[in-house]
Amino acid sequence: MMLENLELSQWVLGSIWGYPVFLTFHSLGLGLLVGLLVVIDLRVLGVAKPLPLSELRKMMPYVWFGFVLNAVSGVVLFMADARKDYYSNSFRWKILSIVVGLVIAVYLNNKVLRENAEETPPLARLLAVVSLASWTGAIVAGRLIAYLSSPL
Amino acid sequence: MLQGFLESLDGTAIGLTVKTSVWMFPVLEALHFIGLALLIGGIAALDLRVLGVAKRLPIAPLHKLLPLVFVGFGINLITGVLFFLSDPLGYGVNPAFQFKVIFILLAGLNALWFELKLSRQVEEWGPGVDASTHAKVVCGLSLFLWAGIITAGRLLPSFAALL
Repeated sequence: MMLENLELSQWVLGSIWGYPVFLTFHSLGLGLLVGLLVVIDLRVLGVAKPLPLSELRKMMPYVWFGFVLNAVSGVVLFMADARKDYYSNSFRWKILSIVVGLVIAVYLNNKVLRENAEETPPLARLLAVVSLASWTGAIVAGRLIAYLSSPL
Repeated sequence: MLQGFLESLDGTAIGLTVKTSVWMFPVLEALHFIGLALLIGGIAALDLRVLGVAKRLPIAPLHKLLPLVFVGFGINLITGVLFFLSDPLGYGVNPAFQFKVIFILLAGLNALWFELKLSRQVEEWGPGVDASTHAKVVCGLSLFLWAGIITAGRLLPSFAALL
């Protein structure tokens, strides 16, 4: 596949440090992205109510920063191993989980956090639970790519 | 001395189980990353606020998220010890592992310092109130140490391959 033949892809896969360096960015981004979303989801579910949601919303740029870090490092890691990832069911589950988690994060950011209710509506709570489940799923599926994909 | 200690931990029943099982490593690794998210989430939220992000958040309720941090740390300590027991001789001499353990100890001392010297002040740091420079240094150091811990952990297998 063409993607794998790019100079960057070859370097990432061929050098000792290329792959682990991008994996490191991917883990740092994970901490920011999922870590801060866990705090926000828990607050939506009623934990730490003295934290106003509209103020917690100001942490969202750090969530998006973590996401961008992971999207960029993720694309580079994908390019290095494009066929293995593309045909991996774990990879497909991971992407699906991320899309669900992102859509919910955008909704919570634009609606629930902005409305700043102390008691959040049932729909927001349900979405917070689905968000926690989908990011957990993304992490598990991501980890399994390395184990369940057939080598090409 | 280190060598003797590592050898005494080599070949335990639990270590061999982790090493030889097909599914234990991936499951433990997935848990280690979930623990990472819980741990870093609670820490980053508090540290960022102390450093001046989202300043209208009161600091005391963020400080009360400590149980979340402990759950994450507990998961990662248990899974981390299991990784280590699967190959004590390999991990023990790995510079990335040694660096990681030292940084975890430093992060622990740094957090203990916050609890002993600063935690009584968190009630004073309400909405819009700037935390002290002392607290900002401790929380900045905390973010730096945890980023170093993640980096060392991620580079660990590459160092193992070099040894």
